[in-house]
Amino acid sequence: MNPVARMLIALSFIPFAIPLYAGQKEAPPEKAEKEAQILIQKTRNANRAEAPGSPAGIAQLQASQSSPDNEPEKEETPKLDLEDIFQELMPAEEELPPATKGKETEEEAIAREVGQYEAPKFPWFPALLSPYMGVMIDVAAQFTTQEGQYEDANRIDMREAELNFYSNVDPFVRAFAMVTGAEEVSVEEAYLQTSSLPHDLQVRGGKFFANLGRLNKTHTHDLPFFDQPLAMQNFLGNPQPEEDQEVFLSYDPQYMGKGVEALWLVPTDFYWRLLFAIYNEFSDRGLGSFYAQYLGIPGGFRSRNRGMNDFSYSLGSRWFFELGDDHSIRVDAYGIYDAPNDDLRRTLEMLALTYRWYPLEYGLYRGMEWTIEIFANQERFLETATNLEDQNTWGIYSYIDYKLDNRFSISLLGGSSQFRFDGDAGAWQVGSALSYQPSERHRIRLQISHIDEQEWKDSVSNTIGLPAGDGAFWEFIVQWTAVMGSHMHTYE
Amino acid sequence: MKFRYLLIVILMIFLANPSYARKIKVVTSTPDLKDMVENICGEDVVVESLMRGPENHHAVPLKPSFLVKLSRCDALVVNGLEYEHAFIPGALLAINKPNIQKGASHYIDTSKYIKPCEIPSKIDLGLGDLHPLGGSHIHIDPGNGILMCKVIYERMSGLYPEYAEKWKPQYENYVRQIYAEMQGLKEYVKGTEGLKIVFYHPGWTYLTDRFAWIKTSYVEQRSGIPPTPSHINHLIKIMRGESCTLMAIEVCYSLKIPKYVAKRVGNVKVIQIPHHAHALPGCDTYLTFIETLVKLIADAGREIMQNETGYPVRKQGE
Repeated sequence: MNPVARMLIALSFIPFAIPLYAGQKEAPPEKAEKEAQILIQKTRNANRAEAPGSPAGIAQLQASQSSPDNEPEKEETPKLDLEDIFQELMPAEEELPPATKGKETEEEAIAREVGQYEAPKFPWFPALLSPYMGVMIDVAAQFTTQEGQYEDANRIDMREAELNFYSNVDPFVRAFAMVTGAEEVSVEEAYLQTSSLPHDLQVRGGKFFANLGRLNKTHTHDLPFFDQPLAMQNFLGNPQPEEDQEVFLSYDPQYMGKGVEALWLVPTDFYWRLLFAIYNEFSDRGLGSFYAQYLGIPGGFRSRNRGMNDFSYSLGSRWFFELGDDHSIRVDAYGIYDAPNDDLRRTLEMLALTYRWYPLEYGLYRGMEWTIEIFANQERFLETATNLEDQNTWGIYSYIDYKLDNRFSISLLGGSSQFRFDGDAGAWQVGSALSYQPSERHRIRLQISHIDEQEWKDSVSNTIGLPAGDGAFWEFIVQWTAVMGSHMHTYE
Repeated sequence: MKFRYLLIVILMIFLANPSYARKIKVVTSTPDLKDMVENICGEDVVVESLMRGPENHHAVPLKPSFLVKLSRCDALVVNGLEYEHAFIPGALLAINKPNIQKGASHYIDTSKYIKPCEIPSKIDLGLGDLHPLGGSHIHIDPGNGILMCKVIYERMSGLYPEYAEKWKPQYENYVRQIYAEMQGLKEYVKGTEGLKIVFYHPGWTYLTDRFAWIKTSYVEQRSGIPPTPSHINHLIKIMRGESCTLMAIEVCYSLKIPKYVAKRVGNVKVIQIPHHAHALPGCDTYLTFIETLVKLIADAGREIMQNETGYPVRKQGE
């Protein structure tokens, strides 16, 4: 075949590839215009009398009154002018919110064109420049069947008050801060987060609940039960020695990292987020820590003049799949490497699966979330001054949170975990909570839990001589939580 | 040689086909806005709605898939007046997208020309989870729908001026269609003027004002607060006092309390109404949603009036 013929064949494909030539003979706008005209005409013919009060109605009324026999005109009505429609529908200028009054200034137009913010909608209200603020108050009454060392657990307390702030600092960074406390006040979170990095990349730095596992970022008062599962406290929290050393063991129940996290939304059609993070330290081995009391300060641990090996490094991934309109699955996988020195390295892996049912029509009344998370911890301890011991421990928890109607929900929690510091000491828990929400900002919760024999505490007792645990016990809790002001959550 | 020609042909087809030209990605908060944007901007846009028709806008779960859609879009179109408080602010906080943040260049708030109704005289959460800027359900009135289209056209053609001329006839025709539908419905409801209605969730004054009905009260006596026994008792007294015999309940709310109230008041008709496009079968566009909504109420009102007077209330044209 000669080259000219080949070229002609090639060119002949082009018209078929253009949808406009592929059979649509009438341009959509023209077709739509005709349809609209027909519809308008039909409406006009069917209903000659217009709604009183409207400009078009008045005009028609006048026309019909001026006609001697009051019969409708048979000529075609003129094409409806958009100006007439808007004149009829637009509220008076003074009835509109201030920001919409008048024409756009040149500066506003430039700001809009270059992607900068427009003038605030309420420029007379300077407080809008202040950060969003909110206060959460959590009151709890706890009663247990424990006796002996732990009997003072029967008490009514303000468990926590939380004051939170967040705001855009400028077009590039947002800032968040949360101050909490009951007896003592502390800064629980304070961090900066970028808001305009390219390629869906976000970086946050400061002190924060780290992106580790399924529930670590969830604030305590937002959990579907009173406190964090035992396994999570064991592997992500840090045990705290009590000052008076009369009782043991209390925990910071979740991991508050000091460091930097980089989050990247992978360019896929489904949600896939990757995490890389560096934290100062994952396990608190410093002077005065439980670790130091239990095992002694490890040789080679440094809180100053740190090398790159002295930090903790984390990798994580989160996937989210929608299974139709009502169902979804979320998978979280994380790993953290914590190595102040090679002799005392620690690695922790977490894998969580969350299934959620949230019916479209009745999301206000029905819904369910089921989560299961597994922890696997590998750690090398200094058993005595010279001996090293490798220890692998693991834990698991699972819960179901079921919405009974728009006020009530019920949750069930079960879990089991080996003690991080002593694989021979285990503990398990079961519990159930009934929550009542008079409004979105207010919740009352009743919870009953059974905690297994305190092998953890016995283990600690055997090692460092603190009082032993008191065996298995039941716990009854009434929790009353309310939120004032602004309290915004992103997806967690 | 043959392979080279084949490559050239394929390349030419792709280059010549305008359907491969990049389309503008728009995310809307509601299915009604999706329909409006599609009608105005036609084939030049790909539109996704975050909310589904039957969903309650106060209870839309913030899904991670929203973050993906918002991160990839060119423009975000919202109802405004805090309508999307449950899912848009939290989602915007979690993504890197300065130009679709509230008030930014590609954040299109369609409430710009709306005169808000039911503006609270006092902002106090003790009075309920209020709509602080007024009723945010602006789309339920076709007149507002036209003004929302005006904002969409103005902002979209401002952002993409190369399409302005192309979109103008589509926009004007769509506005004319909504206006014609509104005029038609005004005729349809004739004879039901003054009909007293109880809705579930506050914000329906836009609709009742447009069609000369009377909004008697709401099942939610405090906006966003599930009605307590005293609220229910208060509503029963109001309905008896006002002789209101129609309860029009949005499909996303339970009929349990309305049916109880209807039983206690006596001789009350309870109907389910759509609150968005796609909320009920047959409401697959904004126009059919408005038509279904208004006709359901008007038909129920006519039936009530007929029962009360004993005379049939004729539909227009019968």
